Amino acid sequence: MNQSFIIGQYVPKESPVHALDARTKLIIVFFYVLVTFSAETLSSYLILFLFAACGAIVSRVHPLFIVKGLRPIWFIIILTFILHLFIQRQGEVLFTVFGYAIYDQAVIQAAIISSRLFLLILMTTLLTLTTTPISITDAVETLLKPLKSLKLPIHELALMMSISLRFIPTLIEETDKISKAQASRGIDFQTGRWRDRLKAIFALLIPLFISAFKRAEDLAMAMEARGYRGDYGRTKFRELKFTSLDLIVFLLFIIIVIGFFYFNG
Amino acid sequence: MEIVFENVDFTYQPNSPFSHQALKNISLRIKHGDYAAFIGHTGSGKSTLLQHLNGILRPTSGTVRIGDFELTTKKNNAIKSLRRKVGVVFQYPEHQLFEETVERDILFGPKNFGMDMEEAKHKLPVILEEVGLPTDVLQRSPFELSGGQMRRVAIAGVLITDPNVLILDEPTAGLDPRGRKQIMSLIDSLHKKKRMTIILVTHHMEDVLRHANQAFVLSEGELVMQGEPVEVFQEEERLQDIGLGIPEELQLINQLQQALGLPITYHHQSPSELGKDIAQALHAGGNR
Repeated sequence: MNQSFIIGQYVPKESPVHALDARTKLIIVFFYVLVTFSAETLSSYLILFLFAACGAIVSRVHPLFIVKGLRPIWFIIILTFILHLFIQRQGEVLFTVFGYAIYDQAVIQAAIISSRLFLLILMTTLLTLTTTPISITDAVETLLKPLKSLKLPIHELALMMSISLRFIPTLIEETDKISKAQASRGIDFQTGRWRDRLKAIFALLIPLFISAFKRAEDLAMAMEARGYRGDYGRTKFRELKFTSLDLIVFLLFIIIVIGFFYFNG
Repeated sequence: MEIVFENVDFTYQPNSPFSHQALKNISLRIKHGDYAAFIGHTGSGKSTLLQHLNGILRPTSGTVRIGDFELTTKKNNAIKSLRRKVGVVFQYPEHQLFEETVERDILFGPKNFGMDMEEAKHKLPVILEEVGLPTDVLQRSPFELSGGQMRRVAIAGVLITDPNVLILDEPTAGLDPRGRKQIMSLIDSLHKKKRMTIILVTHHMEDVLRHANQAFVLSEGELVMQGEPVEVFQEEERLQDIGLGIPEELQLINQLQQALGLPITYHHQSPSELGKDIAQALHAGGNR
């Protein structure tokens, strides 16, 4: 069904981007997102885009993966662009479409907002394409560790995150299987009245929920059988390592950010 | 309904990094009333091939003909009536149950196909008897039943639309030996009494030998062997090359032939008859 939907899909490759510590990537993506929201000038956008593009090239992930990953988002990006184009009513009238005036500020705003969206998704897709879900959750867990002293269940949160990430492909597969089975029993998900289609969704969702609950039960049982008792006394098999590569990338990123603020005025 | 594949190719997600050709130039013919078995390793393309039989998947190139229906790369709007004629029991079909009662779940297919509901209701007891369920399960929730019973409910939900062709993808996976035997004899009786064309995917070579009259061997998306099961299983080495074995009976016969030169052939005898044949052959050999 939605096999092209690759958010959260890891592509194993040997590249500097893959080799980076997950914490480094997470911190950089976090600040990149923050910085993107304050971007206003064309040159600052160019800098941000260059950074993301370099990352994508160095990661050696096939560009088709990235394009495909962005596909479900294109629609939102284009919609945002069009909405802004029509809603913004500032500046001078540039031209009119069917008697509706388009303002120059609207064009600029629309371009800014949609390129922001594009950059955010590009960067986060790059993160998930080059980092295994496990290392992402490990990174989240270590980065949030200080909050443990506030009695926040960080380990449990990280575990929930990794379990849900792990089961996305499984659930997609399951959905595919059940929808094929119900289609063979004469259900039509694509055409027909919307009421029928809504009913059709139930024939898909109920079995899906039931199997998800069963899976969760089995998983809990399997974890207990292997002596799981939270993070108490637990060591890590894969340790995150901060290397000189991470340091270089951090420095590079800081330079980019300084350059960004210089051009952003 | 006769089933014909003509040079069928199928590629998952063409023109992408995920692109994967699952079927390569498949041509085959399954006559009306045949009992055809598909064997092959996991990932050999069996399930992909099955999904072409009721239009869940369409060939990337080539043609599939099922009776009067023709499936090509183009969309076919008559797909729903095809699906009524071709029933599919998927792997672990109990996962598709969702209604509040067994009755409603079984009647889900007839409702979707716009069949006469009264008539379908009348057929319920017959169908239940066929699959070996008591009639008092009708008003129960399918989720209260055991795994084996759930599978029967799912099979009943396919049989009630009276398909001409019945496709079963590993229908006995995860069942105990008794459940397996019951399902296999149910399929046999559907084949013999209702003259249904049966298409079975299985990993049990014994079942292929015992029940099917046509065997198709798939390997990495290609149809590598086809013919009567006894003939196909003659080529033990070739089967072993693609990771498949041959039924126990034939293994035993082959070994006896090689080691002792006993003149035994397989002609669908039961294990005890085979035992007698062996004893007889040994006896004759001893007299010589």
